[in-house]
Amino acid sequence: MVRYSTLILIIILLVAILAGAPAVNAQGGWQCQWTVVNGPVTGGYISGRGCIRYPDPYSMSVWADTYLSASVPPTWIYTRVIGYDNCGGGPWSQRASTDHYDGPNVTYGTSGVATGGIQNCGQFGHGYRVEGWHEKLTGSTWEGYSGNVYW
Amino acid sequence: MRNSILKKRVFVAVASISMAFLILILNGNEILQAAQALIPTPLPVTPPPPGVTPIPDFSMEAPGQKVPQYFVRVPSFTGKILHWTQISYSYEKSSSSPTNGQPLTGQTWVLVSDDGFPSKFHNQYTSSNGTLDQESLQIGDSITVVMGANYPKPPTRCNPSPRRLSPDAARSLLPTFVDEGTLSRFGFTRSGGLTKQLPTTESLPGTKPLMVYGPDITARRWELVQSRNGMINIQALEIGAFGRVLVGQAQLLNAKGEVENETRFTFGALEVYDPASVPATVFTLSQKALEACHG
Repeated sequence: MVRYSTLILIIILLVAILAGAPAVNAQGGWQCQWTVVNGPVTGGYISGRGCIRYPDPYSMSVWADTYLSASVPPTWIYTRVIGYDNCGGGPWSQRASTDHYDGPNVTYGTSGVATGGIQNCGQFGHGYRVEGWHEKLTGSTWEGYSGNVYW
Repeated sequence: MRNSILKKRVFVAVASISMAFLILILNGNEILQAAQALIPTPLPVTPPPPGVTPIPDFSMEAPGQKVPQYFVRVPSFTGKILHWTQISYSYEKSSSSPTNGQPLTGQTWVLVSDDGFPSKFHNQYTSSNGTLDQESLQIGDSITVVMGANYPKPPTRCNPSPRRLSPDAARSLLPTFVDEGTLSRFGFTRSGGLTKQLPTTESLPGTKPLMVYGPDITARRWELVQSRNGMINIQALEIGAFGRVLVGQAQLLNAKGEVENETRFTFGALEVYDPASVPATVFTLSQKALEACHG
């Protein structure tokens, strides 16, 4: 009896999750640009990308990743992503943000995905900005860079 | 016996469904996060070798970047510097922006090149207490954005980034003029006059503009109302002399008539300057921005 109930519960949960996923996943793929290219750090270089997708006409998702060059010993990596948008030449509004630590011995890390609603620009042109933070742990100090990319 | 087993199975199924719904209600965020985790993210790629600067891909289109056909360009602005004050308001129900639902006052300077597109663009936004909210300076294909103290402090601040504007994106940095005679063709209807107080443009001391559009005290309001999936999208333009847009507004209402999101711009008088009469500092970062860079 316990087996049946557990099985049914798992199936229902999976259906609920998978039914929700296409709504987020159906429209538009990721578009990525380099936010930081070969920033000098102890032992080598750090790079990273900022990426955006538009799950539906009312929201944006952002994501970032971080790379250490082969000469850098594997360590902890911190990646943060922040998504902004604006209308015409108007001010940038923060829409989505998330971060993630990868470690203890990695040369590649990701921020995770953050999704937020976007502005209703009406007829005024919509601009998008993704800020990526890319840092590594050296001893007890974080070192790295951030950069912005635009759409 | 069979009835008893059937009843037990029905009970287990009903209990499971109830539990699943309870979990969905209680842990909506966790379920959403689980769904987000299922989104395939880009695969790792090889970073460019040291010394090589990748060429940014500016070819990709993002939603909402087309300029409407009823927005017109003003040829007499070529080779001139434009300046105006505007108040920007943006509200989004679930926004995490520190300035969500707060008006920001902006000073904008634009150098219009001979092709009619902006070659330099500088704006500074302050909140109602006078503190710097943000500042943007675009020279050619390079932009520097400085965010104020309300925003996260990134490890690298105030470095310029490449940003090549598409023709539509470049046009959207210029003041908006409308061919009012065509609005009804696009579904707009007349709906009264000026509804908002317009800001006063702070003139540059010691120099006189060649021409000033405004300040306007009257306007004609045009509205475009569209409904979809129980939501009502209202777009409004309030137009002054020479077809200049004085107020731009976009509002999304839900079925209960509540505002889901709203963006609003109000524009003060537009000043047109001879570049020779304007100090070069209008296209440099302000002292407040430099302090934010090093703070």
